[in-house]
Amino acid sequence: MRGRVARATRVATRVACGVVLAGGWAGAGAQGNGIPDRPERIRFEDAPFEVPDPRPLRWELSNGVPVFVAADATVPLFSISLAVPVGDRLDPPDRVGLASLTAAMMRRGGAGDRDADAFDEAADYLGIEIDSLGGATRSGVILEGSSRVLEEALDLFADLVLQPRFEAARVERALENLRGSLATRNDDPLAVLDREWRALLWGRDDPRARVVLPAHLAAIDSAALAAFHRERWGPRGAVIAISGDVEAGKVVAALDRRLGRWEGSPAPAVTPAAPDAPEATAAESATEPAAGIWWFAHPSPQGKLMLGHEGDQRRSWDDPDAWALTVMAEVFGGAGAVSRVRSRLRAEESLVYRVRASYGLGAQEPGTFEVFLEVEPAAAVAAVRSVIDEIERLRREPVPDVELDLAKRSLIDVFPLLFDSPESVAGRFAEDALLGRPHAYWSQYRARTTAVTATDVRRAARRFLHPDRLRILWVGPEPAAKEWEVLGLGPPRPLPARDPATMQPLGSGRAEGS
Amino acid sequence: MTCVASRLVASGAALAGLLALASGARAVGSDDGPTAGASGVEELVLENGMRFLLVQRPGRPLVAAGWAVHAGSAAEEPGRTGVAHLIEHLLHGGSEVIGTRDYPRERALIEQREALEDERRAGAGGAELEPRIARVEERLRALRRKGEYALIYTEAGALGINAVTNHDLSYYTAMLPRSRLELWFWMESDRLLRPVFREIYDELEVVEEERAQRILSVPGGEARARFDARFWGEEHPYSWPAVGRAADLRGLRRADVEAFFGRYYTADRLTAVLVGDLDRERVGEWARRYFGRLSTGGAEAAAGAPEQASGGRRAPAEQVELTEACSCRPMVELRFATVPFAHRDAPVLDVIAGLLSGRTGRLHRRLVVERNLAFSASVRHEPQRRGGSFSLIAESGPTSDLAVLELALLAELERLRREPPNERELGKVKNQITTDASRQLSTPSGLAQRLLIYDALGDWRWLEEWPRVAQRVTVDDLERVLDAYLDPKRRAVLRLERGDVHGAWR
Repeated sequence: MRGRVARATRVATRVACGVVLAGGWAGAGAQGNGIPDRPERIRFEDAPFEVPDPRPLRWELSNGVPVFVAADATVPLFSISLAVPVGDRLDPPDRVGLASLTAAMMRRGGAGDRDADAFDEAADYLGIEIDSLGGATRSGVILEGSSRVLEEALDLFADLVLQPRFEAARVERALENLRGSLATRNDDPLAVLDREWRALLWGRDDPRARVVLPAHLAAIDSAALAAFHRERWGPRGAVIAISGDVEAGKVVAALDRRLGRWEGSPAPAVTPAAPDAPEATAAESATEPAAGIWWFAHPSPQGKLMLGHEGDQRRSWDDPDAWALTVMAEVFGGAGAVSRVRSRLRAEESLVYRVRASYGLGAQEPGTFEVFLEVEPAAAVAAVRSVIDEIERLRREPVPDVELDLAKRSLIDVFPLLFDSPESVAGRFAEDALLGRPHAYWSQYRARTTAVTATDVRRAARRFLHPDRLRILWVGPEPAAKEWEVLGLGPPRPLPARDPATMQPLGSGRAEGS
Repeated sequence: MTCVASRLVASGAALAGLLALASGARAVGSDDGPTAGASGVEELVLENGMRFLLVQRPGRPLVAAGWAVHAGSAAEEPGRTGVAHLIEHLLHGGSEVIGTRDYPRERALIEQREALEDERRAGAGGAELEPRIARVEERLRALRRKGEYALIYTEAGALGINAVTNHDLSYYTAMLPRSRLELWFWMESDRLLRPVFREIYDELEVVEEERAQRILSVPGGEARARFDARFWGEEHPYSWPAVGRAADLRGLRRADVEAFFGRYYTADRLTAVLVGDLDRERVGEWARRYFGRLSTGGAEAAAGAPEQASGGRRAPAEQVELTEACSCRPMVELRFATVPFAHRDAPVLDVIAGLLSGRTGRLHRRLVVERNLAFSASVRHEPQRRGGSFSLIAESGPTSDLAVLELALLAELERLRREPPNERELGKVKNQITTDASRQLSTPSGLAQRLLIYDALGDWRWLEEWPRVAQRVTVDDLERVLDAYLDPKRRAVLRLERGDVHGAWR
């Protein structure tokens, strides 16, 4: 997308200089009115982007919770987000969904001295948007409203964080809706792909692969949510971002009056202790061989395919290979103009509908190397071969300078968008605090990215990409075993259909991985 | 036709922010504006009549840019519907410079292709005709640079390239890195100045596909389109969908496209908007240099489309009632004809919409929570250029039938008269309006879009005016407006019942 700027700019500069020497713009354009005859001839002046300085934005509550404030009075609106390092990964194995439900029901079940209806009414009266939500490794609360009602809104915000009531009737209704939605979870092929892919990578019992079952929901009630909130949500590890029409000192003081004495249990580990070497997880968790092809029957005319393997966990924010990996990922399948996978698959253009690649070097747990394809069954094998070729080529050959340059420029071009509003400035720095990422990561970003060499990229490819560990998951019509054999990964192994409620395999004909 | 771009930057910011939490948009009214003068809009009018609205947002790396033409599907002639939306598609194809390898040769072939189309439509040409058409099209394809328009933008780091057409306007938006803003001036003035409508007959198929997606493949979509037509009455230009009627689309020709473009895409009917970190002097210079080349419309354009100068009230010729089967959750809609854009009663109707809608609004409280009749209940208020409508909509719950739902909706209208809101309830809606008004201003792309729409509908200043008017609404205003527009006797009713419908999933 945003990628080929580099080339366009270089060309433009070269042309512009030539024209200027030949007599200036006024007479140079074919249109004779100062307008270049082609858009490539426009001379752009690059506006250098400076990363905002986080130091004046950082504040702290009495209990040590860091607060980042990016004030901006353009519009009389403010927003606040609070995040805690609590997520699905902390679910007890017999109550999957507990962390998410706790987070979601904080907003929906009343708080402080207000029951659920009264809380809804109070929030609507102020005209604010206030919500809570949980994810894999973090949960949080967001608030947005008119700066006229800041104080009143903060009261609701603090009640929600500190004293959610988890009103039983509301919890019951939410559980009922959730039960209903489990019944349809085999319908969407993307949801199936995601579920089976996680199970393939880590095994079904891993916290990253577990799914909610009716038995889990039966063990969850209002009291369980309240207990989880009490035990897990606390000030340690929490971060706050504030932006908009506020005075930093005042808003922090107002927040401190409400949350400054917040105490809670010690900061929990976001995930159960991570293994030292990623290889250990892959090998231990699965009884499956390390590499291979699996397929899950789904009655959709196209197929969805995932290819990849478990990734690494970041060892430090200073790891030079991590910068090289970012560039490598951009070359391999980034969103910019250089995406070898995308341009390669353009040959099969009308057969591959979508391709997306990512190499997540996880900050808190190992990420995944993944290539996702939406493809006609007839073209799947060819597409997979192209992808594997590209993986091997990155490990084998240094990336040519032109391509390397484009990839780096593309990354540097989109970099300012990470700080494109007061909201993202405060949020980005607060996230640093949440993850333990040094703020200097951002001020170094351009220099470190620019310094990456072709040798660095090849080294990163050899460290992070493992063709011998590739797993392939096909969700779609039955694959022709013979065609897939050319990949040398053995025949596609069928995965059993599963009862949407219990997730137990249906039928007896196919045992998993047999 | 739906405005998908509005939350683009907002959601991007949320993702970039601390938590990727989606914040649900509140359904208070359909029109919101900022508080007094808060938008900071600077107006610049070129000699040819084209208006630029400039808003400074210092420090933003991207500029939200766009322009709107003040004519949409309602400006079409009956029998030629769909042409406004088709042009929106075709303008993506480029110009005499962009999208071609050799324009003069292409031009000659386009004319040949048209001559063959004449024969085809006349039923002449015999068996040789289709192969001849195929040969010309192949030569045309060889001269095209397909996708060049979008490619130039994306290579320059632009995002969010989008266009939307509705009854009253089309608008075209993009976001560019601020250092590359001149590219937008170049590209947009270029395609307005010397557009080349490429692949018209292929694009018609794409449009027909889109029509099918929007209307045919949406459960109840066809029924809703028929309801729209009956509600407005066949004389009214809102009676056809903005994508056009299927039969009309098939008959469209290059001459229709060129005529509509020539008549409406003139400087005096265009508004451009830029929101971002702007170098004011250069922007003014670029505006004049690039867009100053466009010509002003002739006398014919000045006379304009047959716009109804009246309040835009639909003539209630008959009691409109439509009951159809649908593969969807059963629902009932009560619709009333109201007022056009920027009418003084529009904010009052928005306050009424606010009282009724939302999680703690009257409809949800009564129909969903207390009586357990409905799965959901909502309100839609749409003031457009040539008239407005106000709808109460309820989807049925497990046990209710549609007659009961309809009565329940009517009872809530009646209750607004019998139990008018107290200070607190009215204050709640006004507070929500205040927040929503600010939200309209908070992201550059959202503000740009809002300014484009408001200016094309009549006047961008309504953005600042509307929330002020809404804050002054009294209980007396509510009563007067209920009587004037939301009279149960003048309701139009759409009922969708569960049932197998041929065509619904086609």
